[in-house]
Order: sequence, then structure tokens, then C-alpha cells
Amino acid sequence: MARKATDFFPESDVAVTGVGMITPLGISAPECWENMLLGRSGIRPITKFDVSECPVKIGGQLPESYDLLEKSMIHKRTFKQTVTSTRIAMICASEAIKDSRLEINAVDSRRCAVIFGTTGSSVRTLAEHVDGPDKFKIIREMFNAAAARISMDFGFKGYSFTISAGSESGTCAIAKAYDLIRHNMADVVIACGADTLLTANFLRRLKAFQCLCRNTPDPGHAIKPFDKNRSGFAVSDGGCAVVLESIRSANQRNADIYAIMSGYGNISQFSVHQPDTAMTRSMELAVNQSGISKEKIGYINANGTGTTTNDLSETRAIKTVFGNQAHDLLISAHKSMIGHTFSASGVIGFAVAAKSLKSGMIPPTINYETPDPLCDLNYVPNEMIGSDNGAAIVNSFGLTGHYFSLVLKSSEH
Amino acid sequence: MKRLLSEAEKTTIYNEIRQYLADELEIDPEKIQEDTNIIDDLGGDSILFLEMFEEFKTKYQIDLEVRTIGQYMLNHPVYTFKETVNAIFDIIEKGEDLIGQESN
Repeated sequence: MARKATDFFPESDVAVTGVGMITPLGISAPECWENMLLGRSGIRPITKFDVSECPVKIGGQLPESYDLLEKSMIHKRTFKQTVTSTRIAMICASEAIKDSRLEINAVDSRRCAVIFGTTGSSVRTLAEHVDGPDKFKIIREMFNAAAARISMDFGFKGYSFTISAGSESGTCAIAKAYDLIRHNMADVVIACGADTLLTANFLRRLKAFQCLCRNTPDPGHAIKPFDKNRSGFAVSDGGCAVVLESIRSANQRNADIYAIMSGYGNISQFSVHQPDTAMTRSMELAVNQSGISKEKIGYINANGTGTTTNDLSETRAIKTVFGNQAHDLLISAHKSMIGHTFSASGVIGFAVAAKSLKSGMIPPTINYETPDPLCDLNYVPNEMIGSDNGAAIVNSFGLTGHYFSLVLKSSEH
Repeated sequence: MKRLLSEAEKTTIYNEIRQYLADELEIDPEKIQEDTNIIDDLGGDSILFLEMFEEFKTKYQIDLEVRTIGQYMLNHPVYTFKETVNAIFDIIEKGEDLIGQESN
């Protein structure tokens, strides 16, 4: 008899015990969550740089309140030694740890790890290359800076590293955190993704991918995942961190558990044409590893970029995996409100799914106005709904060939 | 090369170190007391110590490799302002003999 993946590991499930988030919708997880449930958009005209040469002049800038938060939480010297994406990651991690009520003295710090996912914002934000003191250039721009900072901030002495897998880097961080815990190599892992790609250069270069939304005088309505008139996404800055923990550790310290992560799928397909098969395989692998029957899955936090091809392919893939059940699923796209935060986006999706399983509330896909006959599933249009679900899938599929699906289940089922 | 710092010189250097830390960490020098922990209390970091030693080495024309200071710090942990001041006094007074007998 074939062995299931779950037979191999001493720890079969991984608890989600903390969330921290900074997005155009807010500077904390509760603020972002509330605005998502209200169906608000964080997309606005870009003011932080000259957009005259940019193909798209709207995007997801962080709220003005972020600057004050940064000043209150980051020491002046640390500020000079870090780039914005690192500081976002540090603040998100801080919120996630506080949310989890983890006391480092109550756990084995050598079994506490940090995995940070980024596309490489630390070396892409040109202004920060020039502005910072030269003597700090190495520690400011090194790829492992954010993971190292978070480890130092919280006294985590286990694994600490950065991974890069395109816009799925944060999702990959969650998957690898899950592996560390499942392989009994860590008890607690902070998985974090952050990027600050809302720059003039990035927008100009992204034009080649034909994935950016059209300019509109009403930026809040620019991103329309699954709508017939969708035109693409806007680029946003942001970060999200989650605390993942072995069930044993979470129970020992009587932690509140948002949800249980019970599997993931990952496949690489380096072609932007016909990604349906990779999306299908990614979800199937995740469901198989989780050991959860498909019937228990009620919610999908979609990749939902709002591009013509992604949304159609994702819809087709969901139909292939779930058959007739596809029409019963609730599917929503946080990118309709937040935009594309790249490495943060998969972690945000994961946090949204975990909070949905805990609260029974599903945030909507906003700007859904004209149904597309080819995208005919329930995308939770425009208004949140209440729905208790046993399990959820988070899809995170990238332009650069990485496909991840994560499976979460309710801690109460 | 060995030199002996006078009390007046020590007072000058003491104040220079305090001012250096205050400038680098952008804080009021009055916040720096002898038992103040430079990393835990003031938000400093290990690189700050390297920079500071380099600064004072150059200023007082001390010919000494940073690695020697690193060896010295293995036996003389430097965390507080007072410990920092004493380390810099030792660096200036002992120069390349900083760890002389200790390394044998």
C-alpha cells in the first residue's frame, strides 16, 4: 500500500498562532483585515515618485501613518542600516510575535527560526542605494538582512535565512517553515514576505509582461479580478509575517490557534502560456499532502491577479480539481483591494484564509461588475459574507514560474 | 609603543567617546552613564564598536590591527560605557602590546 506523505513526519500538523501585516490598507493586521471585510481599496495615485515616465500612475502606497509607525519602532541607527522592505518585515514580525503571545524564555530559542521571502527589493530600490551611509551598504543590502534582523530582535537562534522564488517568495517561506516543523527541525518559525517594488523603474520594466492594469481616474476600481473587463494589477508595497508552530509547542504554551496548516503543493513551469496544468497540479499536490478530503474545502483565497489569462486559467484549474464542487466554493482575491505586493502577497493570502477559518468571515473580491461567462464561479463579489468552512486553499502563482498552493484547516473541526 | 595617559587626557577622551556615541546613536550625551549597556540600552550594535575603535585608533595614531582588539575583547568583554572607555584607554596606552602577555 502506498504511504502517504503524512506517514513520514513526526509532526503532522502545524499551527498558525500569529499574524502581522502592513499593506496599503493598513499598518496592522486588524486594520488591514477590517478594511478587507469592508471591501475597501488601497490603490491610489502614486505620489512618492515622479510617474511621468511610468505606464501606470496608480499603485498601492503604504498609508502615511506607516512613516510614524516606523519612526516609533525602528531605532535611528537601525534605520540607517536597513532598507524599507527590511523595516516592514521587522515590524510585521514584531506584530506577529506579539499576536502569538510567544515569550522567548518559555521556548527553546535554538529551535526558533526565521524564513524571509523577497524578490530582492533590498537591491532594487535605487534611492536607498544612494541615500544610506556607505559604511552600512553591506549589512543594509545583503539578502539575508531581514531574516537576520528578525532573529536578533527576538533572540531566535535556529535557522535564519532568506529565499527567493519570484512573487511566491513569501509563500515559499511558509512552505519551508512548514517543512522545518514537520521534519522536527524547529518548533516555531516566523515566515515573512515583504517587497517594496512600487518604483518607477519596476513599473517601466513590468510593462513588458503586459500584466499591469489600465490607468483610470478612479484608482480604487482599477483591479477587477474575474470581471469581464479586467485589465491587470497595480503594484503595491507591503509585508506580512505569520508565526507557525508545532501543535505540541502551541498546546504546551496554551496558544490561540488561528488555523492548522496541513499541506502544500509546489510546481515549477517556466512558461506564461497555458498555466492551467501547473495550477491544477499545485492544488492537487497540496490537497493530497494535507490528507483532507476535497469536500471539506469551502474557501479558496485565489491568486486572482486580475490579468486576463491568470483569472481564466485559475478558474479552469479550480474546475478541473473540484469538478462540480467548484461552483459551491467561495473564491476571493485580496489583490482586488491591496494590489500585488509580490513576496508579501502569498503570506497575506495565507493570513486571510487563517483569519477566515477562525472568524467565519470571507472578505470579498471587489470591483466585480460585469460577469465573464468563462469565469463563472462564486468570487464573493463586492461584499464579505459569513461562512464557516472546514478547510481552505491559498493559491500563489507567479509570472516567474513558481506555483504554490497551501492548505489550511479549521482548528475547531 | 607604550604611553601613559594623564588624568586630564583621560577626561578628554572620556568625553570624546561619550560624544561619539551620542552622535552615532543620535541621543543626548546625558543619557550615557557608566553602567549604560550600549547595545541593550541605546540601540547600538557590534559594528558600532568596530567603528569606534577604528576612529580612536586613527585619532590617536595607534598602529594596531582590529583583530588584535578582537582578541583583547575575548578577555575583556565590552558592553557598558565604562567598559568601552577602559578598552579605549587600554588601546591607546598599550598600542600593539594590547594583548602582549595575555596571548602567551
